[in-house]
Amino acid sequence: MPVELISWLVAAASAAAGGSVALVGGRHDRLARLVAAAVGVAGAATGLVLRAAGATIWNWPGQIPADALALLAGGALIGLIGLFSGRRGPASRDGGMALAFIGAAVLLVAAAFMAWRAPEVASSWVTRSWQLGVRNLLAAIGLGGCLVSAAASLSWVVCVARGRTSHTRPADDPGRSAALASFPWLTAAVLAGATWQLVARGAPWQATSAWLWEGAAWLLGAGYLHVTSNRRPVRAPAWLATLLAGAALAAAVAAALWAASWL
Amino acid sequence: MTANPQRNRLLVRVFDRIWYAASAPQTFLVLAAFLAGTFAFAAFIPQLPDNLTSAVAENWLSSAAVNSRGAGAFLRAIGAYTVLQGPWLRVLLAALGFHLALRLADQLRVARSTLRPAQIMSPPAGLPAAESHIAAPLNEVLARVTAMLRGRYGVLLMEYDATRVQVYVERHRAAAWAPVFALAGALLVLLGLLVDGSFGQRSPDFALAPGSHAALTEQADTEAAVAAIAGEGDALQAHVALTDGRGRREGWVAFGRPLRWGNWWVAQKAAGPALAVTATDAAGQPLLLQELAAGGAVGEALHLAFQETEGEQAFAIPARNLALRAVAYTTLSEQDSDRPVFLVEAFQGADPTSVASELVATEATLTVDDTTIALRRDHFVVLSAAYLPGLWLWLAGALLLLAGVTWQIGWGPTCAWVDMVADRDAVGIAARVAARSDARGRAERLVAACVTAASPEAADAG
Repeated sequence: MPVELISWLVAAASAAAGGSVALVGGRHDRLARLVAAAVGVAGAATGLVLRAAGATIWNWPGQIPADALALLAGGALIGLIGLFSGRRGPASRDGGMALAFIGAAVLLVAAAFMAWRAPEVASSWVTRSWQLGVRNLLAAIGLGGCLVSAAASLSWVVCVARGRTSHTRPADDPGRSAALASFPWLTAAVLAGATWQLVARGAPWQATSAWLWEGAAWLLGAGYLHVTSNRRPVRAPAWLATLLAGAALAAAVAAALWAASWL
Repeated sequence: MTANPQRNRLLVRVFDRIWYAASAPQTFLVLAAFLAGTFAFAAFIPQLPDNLTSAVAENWLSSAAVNSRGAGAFLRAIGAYTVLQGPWLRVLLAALGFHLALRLADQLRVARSTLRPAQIMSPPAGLPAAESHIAAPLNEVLARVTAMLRGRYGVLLMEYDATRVQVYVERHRAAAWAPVFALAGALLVLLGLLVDGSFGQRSPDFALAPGSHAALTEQADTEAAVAAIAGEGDALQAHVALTDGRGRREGWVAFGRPLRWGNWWVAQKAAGPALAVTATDAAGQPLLLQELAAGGAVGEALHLAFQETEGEQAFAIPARNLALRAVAYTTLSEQDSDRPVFLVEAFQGADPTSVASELVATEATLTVDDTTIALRRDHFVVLSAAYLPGLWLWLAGALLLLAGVTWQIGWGPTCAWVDMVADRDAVGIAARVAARSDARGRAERLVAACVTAASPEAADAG
């Protein structure tokens, strides 16, 4: 098995370990979670760099589904480092952290499997275009936040359903922080995609499947932020916020699976 | 006399309710859900490209319906293949534009209030509160807490009586303009899309070799011509001339570097191999060449483009009764090269046997009697052009939207209410915080900070 795929599997194992620590806790659990997320990011990045540099010419990562899934997982782990590096919190937040770690691990395993089975994509000026590479990196952070947000929201709504928390308003959804942090990046990625299509194909709003899925994730993310706002609270059941976060995550994964439509 | 004022009041109430409903967050949720669903549908079902001519579009729709097996006719009938160009998306975007315009008007009213001195506002309904208490006199607690709050917030206002104080604080007041930026940016993007959709156009992709030209519009009033192609690989670029009734513009187009002329954008999408051919007689005079494809070029120099589906091309030298065939080979192992090479064979009259042949890697010469045919490997480029009168609108709108979103999320306004109530020898403290996220956690932390600041130990340490 190529070294880059082993790197992704190591990153997946680290993320799974981080998820276990988040559930179990312990004396140094905060440090352990940070280390697990950092190792996961490093492993995902190493695999991507090795794959990009594998050909004689550098090809920016993210143009095929395997790379896009690995970028998504890396973006989620970066979000975890930033947002949940605090002290242990309510059960809903630790459960959300664990789910996000495990979700990133699943994405990395899926990426490794797809890269192992799928043929290489021919190198072309598109795969070497730095503008598309920058767009892919912006999208990784923006869409990776969807995973963290959905995981936190799902964990919280389970606690609400089981009566383990009295914080039942959508504005209490802990996934909002992750969505807020990643939304500007996702906005920049959508706009960078339109700009890249303008310079590469002379048409800014060419409806490639990946761009449409990212647009759907952006709209659902904006809807989620509206539902969970505490400035203009919306009277809605708790599960509505979780449904929107889950739908945004599904759109983010679909954008990764259709990544080849950028070519 | 009383009927008109009553009817007016009724009308105002109705309009108010329409305004509130149309600008409500729930309306945005519904519109966003429908739009996201439309995008997801369009991502699944193949969509008609928007740069096809009428005849080609009809062929595309027919083949898409056939490829969808039993559901093809139904999908075509409901416009599933043209969702992104059809009325459904336009209606959604129009409704979204109306919603955003109403919200922009509301937000402008809120943002303009930041230009006036701050006033104590009522907290939003349902904002969670955190409570605690401290054993100390009210006036001492008030002094220490307000000193702490002044260090954290730019604005501090108070209302009080003998036993109760409400402190109202604000931070990043100017950030009330951030949603104005974001909403105005989104509206500009929609306006740019409307202008492009109404007045813009896209040309079909066209392959041009040096010396060839193509019309960019069905009316053929704008034309693009390629004069020369230089470079190799990613550095390959084409010298393009655009002409219409008002003038001419020339420039180089490369991968990722389009050519712009007013609102016309020409981008280079792909390139491929071509064969440049010239022929001379014994006296060195050029001979006329003719491509043998339908509508083929005629001239003293030909550029034969070999697209993916065109591995073979033919041309003739009528004056010498010569027909030549050129076949492109991607790799030819005995030539130790992985770039395309061309095998050119010449045929005289009706004789099926070739009278001469030559393999062209870079340059070669083929001689038949007194005719010298010069062959040189060249390139063709695939260009795409679009007329985008709304481009600058949506670009400006996009930047405004991004700036507004980043400002609102990164440095959004924060308001807090701290209520202190004297209860014999103790003071009850309750705090509420309206911020971008985690209202409950922020309220708890604020109450803890107030208790810490107001405690006798902190006073002794101070």
